[in-house]
Amino acid sequence: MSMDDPQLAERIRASDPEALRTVVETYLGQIHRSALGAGLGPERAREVTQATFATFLEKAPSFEGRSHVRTWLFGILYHKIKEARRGLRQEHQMDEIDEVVEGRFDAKGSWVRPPQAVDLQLYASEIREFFEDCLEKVPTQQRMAFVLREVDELSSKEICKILNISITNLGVLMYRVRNRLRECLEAKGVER
Amino acid sequence: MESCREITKKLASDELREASLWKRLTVRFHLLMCCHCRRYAAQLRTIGETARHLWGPHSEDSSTLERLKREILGTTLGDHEGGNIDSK
Repeated sequence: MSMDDPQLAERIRASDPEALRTVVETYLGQIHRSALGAGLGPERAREVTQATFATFLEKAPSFEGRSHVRTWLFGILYHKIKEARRGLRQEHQMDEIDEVVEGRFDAKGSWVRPPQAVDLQLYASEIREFFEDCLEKVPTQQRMAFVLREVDELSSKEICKILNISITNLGVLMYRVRNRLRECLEAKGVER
Repeated sequence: MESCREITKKLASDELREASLWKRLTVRFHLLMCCHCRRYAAQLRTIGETARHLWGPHSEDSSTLERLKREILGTTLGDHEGGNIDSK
């Protein structure tokens, strides 16, 4: 059965075991990897993945099929991750990364502190650590936007639905998280 | 002409993804002329590739997935074929 089958929503609503099983099998890996990408450790990523599918199976009868089942699953995942990463700061109007990036340009918008060359190949073995360190305290929304875009390669429209934000918001999140990673990697690379 | 600040903003915020051909061309042209923005763009690409490397499909551990699948399908759907974890 295809995930674009027009009858899929109906079969999910009817809790058709075959349909539910196919959904689980199709998206389990993606959901699990996204939980890891969102910064949960192996243990918590497993828990959150389980909880996401438990909610999916429980709520299946109320699935309206107005959005794709994948969008729905990722929406559930996002809520679970927010709970799991509770205590982290929320996304704000202001973010210190904005000033850092701003400080790289002069009043006319030309580079005063241009990007430095960083050879990531040199740090291949530590790259996971770099990423984790840099993203550790990033607000969940930013981190999720990054994972959904870069790893899951979803469309802007779908990401906005999952995170319940506007396209302008998404642009701001991507701008912040990418610049943050770039600044981190540059700092680490130049340090040595 | 757009400044480097504007170009990097477009690159980082994904504005180009759904932009017109003309807009994308003007950025391309800027990158051709500006080595700093070119480096910036390349670094963003590397960051994306690295993320896919860390969390992309091939990073999956099949035994963890099998276990998760058994747990999810076994407990909730009473799936005997998939293995009942209670009987372990």
